[in-house]
Amino acid sequence: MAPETVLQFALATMLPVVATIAFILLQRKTRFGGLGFWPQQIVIGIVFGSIAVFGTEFGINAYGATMNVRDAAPIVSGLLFGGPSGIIAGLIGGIERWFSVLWGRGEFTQVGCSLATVAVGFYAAALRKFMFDGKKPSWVMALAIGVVAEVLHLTLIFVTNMDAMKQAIMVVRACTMPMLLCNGLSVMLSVIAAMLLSGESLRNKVPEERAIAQTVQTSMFVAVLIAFIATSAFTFLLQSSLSSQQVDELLRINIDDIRTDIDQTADANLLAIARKAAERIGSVEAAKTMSLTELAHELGISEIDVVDNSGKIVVSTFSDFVGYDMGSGEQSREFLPLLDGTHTEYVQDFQPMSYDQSVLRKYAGVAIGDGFVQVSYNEQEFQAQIGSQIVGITSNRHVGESGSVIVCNAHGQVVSSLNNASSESLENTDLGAAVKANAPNTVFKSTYDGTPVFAMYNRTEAYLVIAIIPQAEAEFSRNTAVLVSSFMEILVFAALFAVIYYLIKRLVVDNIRRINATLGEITAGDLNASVDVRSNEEFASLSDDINETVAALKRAIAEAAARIDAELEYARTIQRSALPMVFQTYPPHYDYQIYASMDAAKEVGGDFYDLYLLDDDHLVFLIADVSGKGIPAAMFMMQAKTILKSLAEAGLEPDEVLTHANDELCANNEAEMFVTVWMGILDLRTGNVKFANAGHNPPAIAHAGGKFSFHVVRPNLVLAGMEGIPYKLHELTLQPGDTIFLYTDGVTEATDTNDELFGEDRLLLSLDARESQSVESICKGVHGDVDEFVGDAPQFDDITVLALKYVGRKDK
Amino acid sequence: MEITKSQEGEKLVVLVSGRLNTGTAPQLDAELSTLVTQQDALVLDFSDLAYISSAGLRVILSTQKAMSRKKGSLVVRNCKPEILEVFEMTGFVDFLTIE
Amino acid sequence: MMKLRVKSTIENVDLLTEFVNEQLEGMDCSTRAMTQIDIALDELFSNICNYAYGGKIGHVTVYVEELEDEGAVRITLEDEGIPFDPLSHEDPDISLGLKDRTIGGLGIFMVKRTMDDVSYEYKDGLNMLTVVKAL
Repeated sequence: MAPETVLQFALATMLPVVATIAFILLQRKTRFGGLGFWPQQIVIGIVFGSIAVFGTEFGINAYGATMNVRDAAPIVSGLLFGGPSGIIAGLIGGIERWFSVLWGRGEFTQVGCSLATVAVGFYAAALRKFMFDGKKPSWVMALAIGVVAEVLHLTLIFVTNMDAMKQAIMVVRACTMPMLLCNGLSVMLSVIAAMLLSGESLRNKVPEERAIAQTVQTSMFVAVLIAFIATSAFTFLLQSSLSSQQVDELLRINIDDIRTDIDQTADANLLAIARKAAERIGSVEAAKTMSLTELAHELGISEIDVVDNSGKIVVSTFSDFVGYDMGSGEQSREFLPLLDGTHTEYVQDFQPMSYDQSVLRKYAGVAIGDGFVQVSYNEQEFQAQIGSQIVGITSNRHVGESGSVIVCNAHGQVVSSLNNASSESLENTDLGAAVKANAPNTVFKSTYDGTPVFAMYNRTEAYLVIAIIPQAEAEFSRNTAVLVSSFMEILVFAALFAVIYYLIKRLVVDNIRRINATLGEITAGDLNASVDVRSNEEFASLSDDINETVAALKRAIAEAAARIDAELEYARTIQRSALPMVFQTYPPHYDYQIYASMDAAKEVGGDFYDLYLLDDDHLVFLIADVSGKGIPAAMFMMQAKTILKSLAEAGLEPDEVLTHANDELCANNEAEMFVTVWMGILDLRTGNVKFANAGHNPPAIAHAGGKFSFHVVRPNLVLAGMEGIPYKLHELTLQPGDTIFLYTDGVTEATDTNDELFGEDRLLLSLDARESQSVESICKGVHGDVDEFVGDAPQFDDITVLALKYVGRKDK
Repeated sequence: MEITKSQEGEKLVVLVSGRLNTGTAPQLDAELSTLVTQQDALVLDFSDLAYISSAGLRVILSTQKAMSRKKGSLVVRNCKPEILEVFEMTGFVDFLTIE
Repeated sequence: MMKLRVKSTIENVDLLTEFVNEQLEGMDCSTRAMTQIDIALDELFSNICNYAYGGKIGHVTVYVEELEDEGAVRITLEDEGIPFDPLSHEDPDISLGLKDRTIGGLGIFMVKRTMDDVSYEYKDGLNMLTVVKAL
């Protein structure tokens, strides 16, 4: 190809690549990617369709066809950006190609090219959907896809031009390499560009990262490639051998024809002369008295011999020959049968004579009564006699379509050829040299008139007969057969590849994915998910096994859960029983009313409350919240509660209780939890409350008939946070009828479905609404309000409340 | 974290700058546990302290207790609001002398 | 979202703090919030260093993500150590004793007090402790 043609092709090859890069960047960097699937597909389809049109309009004309890279655009579009865009691009390119004959594009391939371009759009869309699951193919695969598409295209040109096969083959042979190369490269480079842009490595992945489908793809690709090469090579060899046999046969037949012609002409001529001589001589006896020289001259020859019954020459135009015994030489002996009556005439080929091997003669003999007459041509005579008949003998003879037969005389002068270029010499030509170098009746290669030819030669009667046939013609049928069968093989193998790959994917890979998806659900905790892949026996049995395993697991978990539930239930019972549930003493105290409740978020919570009389005049009441929930929190709570109670009963003030409890809890706090505590000791005689606060929420207090408000002091550090922290004692006084309400942050931090907190304001409102009611009603009311507020939202924290109403003593 | 010591009359001023966290607390602990045995009046200057974590609080508490036992004095001064907030949140303000 | 992966050694707390502060500065974080976040990170990171890998050294990955709609930052500490929820002191893997993994009572108290949201999740072999703090 000319350099500008190469450049043109390179440019066309790069167009789809450039468009690929442009669209990927558009999708990433601009709002084009947010356009939605169909608008994007249409835009991409139109742009790639335009590239296909560009390919048609700026392609290169060859044998009435346009060579171009029109097919690459729909393939790239369909493979990389989505089936619909490929189909659109293919339709645009194909339809434009159909009408492009109106302004001079190759008419011969109109149908084939149009169909092919539309077809490759669908082809790319189908590959993306069924083979690659909407992902990019590897670059090797891309190259193969481009090549197969072109083979399809060229095959369509054959199929649509069955009646002009020869031209179709010329077109296809001219187009095959450039179109396969350019379209294949274009698709491959586009895929590589896309891979590089998405940061993928072009190298093969390590096996463990490779999916089954990919491994199958690669192995099958290699297998198919090997099969293709093997069968193509076999076809080539078979066709080569067939065609060389055909050449051999063709050349041989032609040579034999010409040889026979020459032989027959020469034989007939000489025999006619011999007959005349025999007629004139009549008998051996008569010959002895005749002038043979005169007769020979008259007949245009130089030698006449008369042989008697004993086989000896008795008379001859050459006196030397007289007395020669015909039986003494191989050549001359052949004439003896004329004496015994078995033959009456005999003609020999031009050959060395027995009498003198250095002289070549052609003899003919005719029997006369008592012997025979033989005449001969020497070389000059032979040529003078038959040369005129040989000249032009092959001028109308075609070997195959453009082959011919050449006849040369003993001096190498061409006496007959197809174009009758007589008198030229073969000396110093390729053909002449090749004739010298090769044995007769074998096919050899040479050149004639500058055309590579297959040739064969043979000699007859001093003539050299050479038959030639141009190599191109001889190989045409072979090449056509190989080309067509290769195309068919590529299509068949590609289809086979696609079908097998698709089946493996559908039967194995997709099923594995389905099973994996279900396994994913199972490991994510959904034990009710079941695997149900029944498309074949293996997967059905695998599904059953998995389902059974999961069922067994489910049973085991249910059993374990039941056991844990039971244990939690024990813990819950123990914890419940540790919280005082009886709020009146015996004998009853009328100077205060108290009520409390704890509602754990989990089976066992970390909140607790406590209340007990130290003596007749002192009531300890406290509320606490352990950080955390569940069994560890409950254990910690039991420990804290016990310590607090034992310290309080030892007569310590609340601050001292907390200080010591803190140290003690820190010392044994392996879990390093912490607990907030609000602890008060009410002097029932005076209403005085001494209290200390370790990081707990402030209580709400209301006078009789009044509103609740928070009693805030700065709290000390939580218990078990750090050893050695001192706690501070505070005091407050309750008037008879006053109510103090303690709670944990499970109340104020209860959240509804909108993630809104119950909060302190709602708490105060809820309390105010019930100020005049009993402590039990206050507690239950607040709890009820919290429950109502929370609604369907899950409860995260324990909800604990304690209400104490100071009644006071009448005797005071 | 950096520790700079300077004498201010009777008092030894320990300027702690940077972060007093899990990583640096052992360093301050080692420094202060030596100083409590030698000094009767310690001042912790936190003007350049970025923050203090629970590990730092433990060091201060143990220093405070050691000083209380030997009837010495420990003063914390120049706390940034963020540091002060930690002391308040943890109740340290109740027993620390903060200037 | 930015992330940093460091070895679980106490010395790396500075590396971690600086990394997080750098992100926070880009978010116009108040000094107070930054201090509180630094403290919380110290508490949580030291807990992982001391207990997550049972005396061995592993890795900790910290993720910082600005929640622009909420004007807050979300920070997640991730380790591949023994499953443990420092918030409830409950051990998702019942086989492990409590004393294997704990956070100081004061430490977790401070984290809970200063952060707007603290949550724990154990997923795919990872302990993920997430705090959210308004900037």
